[in-house]
Amino acid sequence: MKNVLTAILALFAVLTAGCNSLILKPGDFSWPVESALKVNEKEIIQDARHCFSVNVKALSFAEFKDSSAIKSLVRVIRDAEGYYYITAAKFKNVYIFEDAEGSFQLKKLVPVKEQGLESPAFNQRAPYIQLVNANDPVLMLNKEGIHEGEKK
Amino acid sequence: MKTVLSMIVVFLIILPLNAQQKSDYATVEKFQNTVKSITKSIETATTAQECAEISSVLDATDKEFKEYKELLDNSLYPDNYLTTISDLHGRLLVRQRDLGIIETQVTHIAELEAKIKELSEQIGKLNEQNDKILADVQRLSENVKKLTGDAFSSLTPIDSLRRQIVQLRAGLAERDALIFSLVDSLFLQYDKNVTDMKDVERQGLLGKVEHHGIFANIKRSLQDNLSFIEATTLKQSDMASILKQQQQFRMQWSGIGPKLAGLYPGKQKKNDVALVDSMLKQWSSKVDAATWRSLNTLFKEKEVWIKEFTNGNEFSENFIAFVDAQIKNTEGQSQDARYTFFKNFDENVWTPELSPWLVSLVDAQKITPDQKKNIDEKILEWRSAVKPGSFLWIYIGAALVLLVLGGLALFVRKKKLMRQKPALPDQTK
Repeated sequence: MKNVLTAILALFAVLTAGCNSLILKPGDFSWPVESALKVNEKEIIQDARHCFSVNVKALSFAEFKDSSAIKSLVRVIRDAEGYYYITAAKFKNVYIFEDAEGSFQLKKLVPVKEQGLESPAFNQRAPYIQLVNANDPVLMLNKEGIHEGEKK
Repeated sequence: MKTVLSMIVVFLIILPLNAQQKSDYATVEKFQNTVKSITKSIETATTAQECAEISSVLDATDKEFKEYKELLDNSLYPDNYLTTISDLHGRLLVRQRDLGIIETQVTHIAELEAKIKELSEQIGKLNEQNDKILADVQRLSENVKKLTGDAFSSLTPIDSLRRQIVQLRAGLAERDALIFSLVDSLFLQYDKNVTDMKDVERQGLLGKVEHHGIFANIKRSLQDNLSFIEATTLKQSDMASILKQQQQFRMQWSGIGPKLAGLYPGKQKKNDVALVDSMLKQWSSKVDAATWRSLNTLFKEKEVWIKEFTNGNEFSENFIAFVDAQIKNTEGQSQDARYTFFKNFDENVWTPELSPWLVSLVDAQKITPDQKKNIDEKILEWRSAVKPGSFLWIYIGAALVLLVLGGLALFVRKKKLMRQKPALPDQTK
């Protein structure tokens, strides 16, 4: 009986050890510079350097109510925590995504300019992501939204 | 031509970042494009000058992007900023070796290129500075003339105006020197006659001459010198410097003008050369007129009434005629008055002003050395005619005459007495 109990406890210990989440930290997923990606005819953006591609039809629809309306370069940058910040010219918002299974999942939608951005660009300014647009004041963003600066 | 164009592209690409390019991505992209352009230029370079130009552009690129080193290090992975720049230097070196160009030759040309850039910047600064001072001088001169009317002269004690004139004169001369030094450095880079240059070299030099606005700068310099002469009444010290500056300008232009004109195909710049020649003549005649105007003014101010003159011969003749009249005392002045007048002339006109003027006039070939010598001798003659020492000789002469006359009178009287006295009888008889 004692042996059986010992064996059950050992088995439980092994099983529960497998269930404990293994965390590697700290991690830094930041890109030093944004990627400016062209939308191809299949509405896909492809980043050879960071080895990913994603379909942006849904993004286009969310922004313009038209799934093939993005004609300019899509600006993408990743912050230290691993969130992706995406925007493009004429966008009114910055989209903050996180990794999901074979997809990007929206974490936060950040309205930045009601008239639409003219020539946006992201800069890595850890722990923030800086958004510059023409002569507008710069905005400092994090996964929660605008940290510094004012939206127009 | 192809190389020149590619160089222009490189220069355009490395223009300063504008507000639009606050993005790191734009900085990285710009650096990468610049590197691509330089690489292409290296591959197509065929002369030492082109290699030197690329070397200069490479240095300028390094200077401009150094502050973004960290960003570029992170973005250029697996390369980094330093390896990219070193790679370009290496490629350039290989190209130079392929072309059989000696490194020191390129270094020398690159040094000249740096000097040219510096000179060009200095000329730009001096242009601005001189414009400002010239405007000030014109304004101050007008104000002074309004306030003093006809009494305005070179001696009007307007310190600020005087300071500005001296400063402007120095500024104009400095710019002239810089322009010619710049042209000299441009030609030195090629170290050969225009006729011996390859087409690509000639095009390269022509591009630089145009880029630095050589003809425009020379014309501007002459124009400013003309305006300066028109706006001011000059002292001997100003005039001496201007005469020297003008001679220098003419000499340098006579060497460089034909070379510059030879760079342009056909008769493209012949008009510009002719215009510079005519401006030089105009400058020369203005300086000439200003010289005699200044001297006439000087005599009027000092109340030395010499007949007006407009050239060296007239000046020499009229001045000598004036001194002759003083020596001959045509107005019948007393000896004291003549001496006082000479003394004033000597102390206020001759020694401080006119004597240095004569040296400058001879240097500028406006009077001959013989004319100067005659004037000097006349002044000595005038001096000895009126100075107190000359009265003593007159007195001594007069005393001698009196003595001789007295002696003669005594002798005649004695003779008379001898004749009136009867002869004594001979006592021996």
